[in-house]
Amino acid sequence: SAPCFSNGLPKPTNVTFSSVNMKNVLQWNSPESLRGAEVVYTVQYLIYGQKRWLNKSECRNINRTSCDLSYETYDHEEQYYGRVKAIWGKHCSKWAETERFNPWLETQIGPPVVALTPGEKSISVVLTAPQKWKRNAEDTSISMHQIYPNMKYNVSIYNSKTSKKWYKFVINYTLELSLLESETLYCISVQVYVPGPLRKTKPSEKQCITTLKDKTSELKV
Amino acid sequence: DEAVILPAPPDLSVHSTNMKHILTWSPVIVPGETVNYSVEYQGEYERYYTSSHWIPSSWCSSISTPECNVTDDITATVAYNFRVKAILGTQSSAWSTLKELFNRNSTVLTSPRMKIIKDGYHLIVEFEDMGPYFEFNVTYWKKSPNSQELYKIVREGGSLEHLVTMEAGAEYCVKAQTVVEIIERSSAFNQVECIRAQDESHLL
Amino acid sequence: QEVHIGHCRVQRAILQELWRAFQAMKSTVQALDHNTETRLLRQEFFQNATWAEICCLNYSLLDFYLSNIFNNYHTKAAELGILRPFITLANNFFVVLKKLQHCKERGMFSLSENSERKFQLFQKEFTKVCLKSWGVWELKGG
Repeated sequence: SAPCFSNGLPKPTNVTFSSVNMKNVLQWNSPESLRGAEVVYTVQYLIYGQKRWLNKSECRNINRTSCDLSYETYDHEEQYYGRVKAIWGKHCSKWAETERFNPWLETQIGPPVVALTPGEKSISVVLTAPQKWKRNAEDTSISMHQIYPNMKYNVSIYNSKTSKKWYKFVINYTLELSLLESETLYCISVQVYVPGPLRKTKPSEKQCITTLKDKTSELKV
Repeated sequence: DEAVILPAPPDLSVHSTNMKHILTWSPVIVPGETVNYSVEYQGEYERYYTSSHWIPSSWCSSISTPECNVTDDITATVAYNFRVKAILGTQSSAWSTLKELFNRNSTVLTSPRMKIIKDGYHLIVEFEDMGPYFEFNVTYWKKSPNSQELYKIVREGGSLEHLVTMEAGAEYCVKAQTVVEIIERSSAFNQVECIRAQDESHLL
Repeated sequence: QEVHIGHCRVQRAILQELWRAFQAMKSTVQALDHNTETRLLRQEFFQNATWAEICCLNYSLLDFYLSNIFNNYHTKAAELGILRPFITLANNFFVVLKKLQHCKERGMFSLSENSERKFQLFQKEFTKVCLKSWGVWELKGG
């Protein structure tokens, strides 16, 4: 792109990586004083320990304030920096940099997929671990469980009849909740737990399901 | 020298229960005056590598009561030393230090307060929240001839944790102890509590 | 509940303490590191090392950190407002060092030539980086 004069155009602010399951998006705020002006942005990234900043061609002279760097930051054992500068006509700002970004440590681990199947006095819960972001749709999926082998699930179970909510820690992918009350609404949410550093994790959406009518009670009446 | 007349606070000691550590000393009395105190500490690293370094306590740089909660200062299972001086206006006393260094592995561990409830056939247990260092080792069994003891680790207090799905009409008993892995110690078991599952007919 | 560094056992809870302290000071310390083109320690540092070597390398690293880094940056940590996590790291490193010390005394350490060279290279690179950043610090008028 045409050279620009770096002469005091204000820098973008709050340049950070937003990361969920290793989908790593660089985002920033436009400079206060340039809001509304026709400002474009250019992004670069650096692999910690390497010399050169690298261009992200799809994020050259863009007018949005985010840039998906998941492909470039795919190796979660590396650490990275991102930077962005504002360009307005012939003028451009200095680079604004992120902190050092460590995907393994800082990505938010999303919730598992939760499948519920009601029985008369039971609910079977089948969990599918969140998947790491994929470079290509046809790539084989990498489960976040492979990246965090000591990953567990904290399952919360709410009994709407007794208004009691209790938790059950689960290591594998299936949980059979038995001897429940029939024809009762139960609400279930599941959150990943990984021992070690403090991590951001997101609970699954609460799913409510009603246990079936108890056929044996019909026979006995 | 005027500062010398202010005596160093005597009887410095640490009282620690369930990983809450309180440093206490006897007050320095100056009639008609309020004496303040300042607390500093050293871990084993500081003594071994940088013996000159003393670190101001988190909460007690200038306090008027003769005690200081030093829980936030002790963040490793090593021997710590503490020192306290009295301050009156511009005067400061000499520092007084612990007679014996303090290591958090000597904390007194009390057995946990526990609540067991049932939700239908589900036996649920809840412990008080005792802070990040505490897990709970739960032992439970069905009260019947040659029944087997089962074990479960509850990772944190303050929430209802599912223990077992009970058999209709059976009685289950539970006891628990705290486990503090960072100091490799556990408390005594608490009082056994038992609860009976409702009979099968109840649910029909 | 334990983590094995070679044959030496360290409670997971100590690592939890280390993680908390590291996360409390990470942003502040890394923001001062303008030398982004040098990364001294990588996973490969322990690659192809035997368990005894992993133990020994960890011992050497901890001892190096305690003697050279924590020792010299105590005042700086206080200035930056990260003294508490800094001290937590130092004292818990010291706990792990003492645990590994037992392994050393039981003769469980052994360093192959390759590992010995790796550690010396790390020390040399560290000194180079340190001098360079100290030089920059001096240029900026301290």
